[in-house]
Amino acid sequence: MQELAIETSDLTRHFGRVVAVNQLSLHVPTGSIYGFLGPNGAGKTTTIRMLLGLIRPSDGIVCLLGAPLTRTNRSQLAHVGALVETPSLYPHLTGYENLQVTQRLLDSPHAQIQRALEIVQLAGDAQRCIRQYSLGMRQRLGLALALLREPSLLILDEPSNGLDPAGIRDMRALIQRLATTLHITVFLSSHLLSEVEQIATHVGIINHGQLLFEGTLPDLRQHQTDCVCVVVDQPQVALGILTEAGWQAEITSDIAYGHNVVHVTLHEPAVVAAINALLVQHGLAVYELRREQPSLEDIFLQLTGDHSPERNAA
Amino acid sequence: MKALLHAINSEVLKLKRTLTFWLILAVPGVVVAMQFSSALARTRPFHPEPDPWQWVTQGVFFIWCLLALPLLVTLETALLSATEHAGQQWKHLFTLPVPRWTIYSAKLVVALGLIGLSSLMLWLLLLLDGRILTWLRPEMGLVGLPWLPILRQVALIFLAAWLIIAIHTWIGLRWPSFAVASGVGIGATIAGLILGISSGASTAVPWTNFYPWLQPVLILARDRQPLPTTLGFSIVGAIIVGIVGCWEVTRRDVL
Repeated sequence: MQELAIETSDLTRHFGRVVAVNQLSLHVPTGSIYGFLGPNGAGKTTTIRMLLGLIRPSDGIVCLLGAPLTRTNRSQLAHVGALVETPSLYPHLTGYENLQVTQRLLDSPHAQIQRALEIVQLAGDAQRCIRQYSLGMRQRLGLALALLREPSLLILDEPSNGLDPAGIRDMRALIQRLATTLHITVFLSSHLLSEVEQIATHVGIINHGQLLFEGTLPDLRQHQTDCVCVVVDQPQVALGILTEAGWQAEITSDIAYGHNVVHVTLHEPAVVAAINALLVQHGLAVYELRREQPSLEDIFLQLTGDHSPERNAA
Repeated sequence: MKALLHAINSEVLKLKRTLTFWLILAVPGVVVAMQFSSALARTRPFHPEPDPWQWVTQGVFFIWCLLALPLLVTLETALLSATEHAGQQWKHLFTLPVPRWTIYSAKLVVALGLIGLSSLMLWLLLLLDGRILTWLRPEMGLVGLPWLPILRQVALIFLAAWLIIAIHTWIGLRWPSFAVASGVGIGATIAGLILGISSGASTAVPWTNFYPWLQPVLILARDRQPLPTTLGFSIVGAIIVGIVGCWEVTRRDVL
């Protein structure tokens, strides 16, 4: 088995003067759930379309499952399932018939349809017309279409897009089950960062068509130090005391507390006690001291340089 | 070739619960019904015709070739293409490990098949029309059931329509908008109608004989153009447009 399920080298795509994807080199390990993150317009969908041969790269190479993907050599697509944005379904056909359209094209056994329906838990609704399906059901049927080829690699472009919280949870559980029980490598693009954080083993972060980070989640976390959130009666005074003592601190608003809190960058765990002692010594009432690990979203925003006021306020 | 058969098999399934099947029945039905009601409603006496069956078929074929068939081709190919554009099916179909040309070719074959079936419907309905008129208007003098000459004429008209079927299949698959596909078809049909009616054998401008939407009607006007020329132009033209259209559509980026 090859080490990398997807490998791209200097993948580039221009649309006129606009460079949508710029010298992208991805390395997706076999067996991983790879979260491909980026804000809207970062180049995720263009990249995915190049990975699937839907768009020709202006430059660079795509290797899927160890073999280069070209106009003339697309044989490795037999082992790749894909769901690009919204699922491609025929609304006038039933769920079963939609799968049958692809099954007939591929000349694969009928049993594959039932198997795919069972995996996505739609066997009971297979004879209903797609028009009667909810968005979540359509998304799962789209996944069933991708599974029809018994793929060893799944490429999913924003599979949770438009789903309600329950639908997002179901989709997440389904993707995790596919990776663990069927040993499928999953390449998953999303701008729902919390989603990727919960299931991905590896992440790639893209912005303005360029790869900003690639690695495991622990690698990504090393990009940012932890901090302590201090809730006190006089945040401005506390900020002065802590800054004077040499700590890197700032005041941010916290919706949960209804007032400002002080965030102190933490370099070692022991300083939590020292911060508490210092503030108490100065007669401040400390209501809470909370150690915070930055979420993937925080790191993502830092990497992609998104410091919009709305995001910072949140 | 096996991949093409699978693609055609898949295309046939997509036709389920669509208007396409109704249209292949409805359009010839309307054309024959018009002729039938006109014969039934006629109050003037029928003059003895050397070939009363020709009187029955001529009017039907004229409307069919000049108006109904080009419009049917426009609608059928636009509907066949719309099923792929509406759900952005290309981004699924073109990631499948099957040759892309089979997907385009299957569409073209199904379009040809549907128009062929509609032509067969026209043939059957014409025979039924004549048989009923034999009973209801015996004074017309319809004798026998000349199924073979009528079938031959219907088949020739169908072959002459291959070029417009290939052109409309390409337009439908190339442009996602239903308005483009139907607009081109309606415009070209009206132009064909004007050219067909305004120019007889003696007054026809030579290039109009190579106007694709006029080819079916040239089967009826053999004094304007010999049959082999009409058929050759349509069939060879259809093969060329089919190849070029397939090459162009399957090479495009799916954005």
